[in-house]
Amino acid sequence: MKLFRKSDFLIIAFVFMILLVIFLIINIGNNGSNFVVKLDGKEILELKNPGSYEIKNTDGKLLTIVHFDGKFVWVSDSSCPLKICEKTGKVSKGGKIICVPNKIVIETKKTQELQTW
Amino acid sequence: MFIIEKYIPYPVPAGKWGFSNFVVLFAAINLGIIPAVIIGALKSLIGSIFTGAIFTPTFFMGFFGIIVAAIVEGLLSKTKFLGYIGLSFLGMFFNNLTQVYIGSLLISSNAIFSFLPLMIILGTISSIANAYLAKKMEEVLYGNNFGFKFSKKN
Repeated sequence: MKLFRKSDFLIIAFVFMILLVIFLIINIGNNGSNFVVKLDGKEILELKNPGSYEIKNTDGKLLTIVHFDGKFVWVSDSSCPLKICEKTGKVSKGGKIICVPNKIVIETKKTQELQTW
Repeated sequence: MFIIEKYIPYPVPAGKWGFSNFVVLFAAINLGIIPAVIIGALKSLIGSIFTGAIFTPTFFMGFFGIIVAAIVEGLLSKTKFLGYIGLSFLGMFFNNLTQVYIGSLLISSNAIFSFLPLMIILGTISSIANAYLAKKMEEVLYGNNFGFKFSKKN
């Protein structure tokens, strides 16, 4: 039997293409991710739909406005002095926005990676 | 070979290059499916006894993996559609896929599948080496280029 035939190359290329397609499909499925907004360590809001959300503390004072466009999250109109959270800019899946004075943390919601059964 | 290569470094934790698989490939192409399966099972068992991995999860993964590879290589070599490299590649592919699948059952988690892309990329390299080794084995044993054929009086 020969070491190498044209069909060998075709098979390898074919398998790699299929794997590439599978890989892409899996990754596209992951981009619809959600963010959560935590105030003082407690989750107060989950960002599922695009839009602008006002974050207020228990006294009703406006702390910041969170914007979500489906892919990115950013804040504006923060009541903190240094506005570091605003300067963080737009954050995508896996990133975080933190505002220490307001005790706000915005991060990606962890989906279950391990399935146990 | 199975024992020696355990000491060769490999990126994935608990992973090996798989250079002992060329014997199974040779058997699948030149001896048939049943001999290939037997040789694969034996190499897995005996090698694992010597490395102390017998009846560990790794052993079961490798055992089923090489059996599947032997069957795939044996069946496909009958069609004469592929050469050594193609058969080796497919054997590698199903070997790794089976190993990862068995592993996922044993640890009850799908996380192990994330090793698969790297295993297949590296496996493609080692499968070409294995194909070459198996082909060399064929040449040496069946003496096409290497041996002498005395057909007429010299």
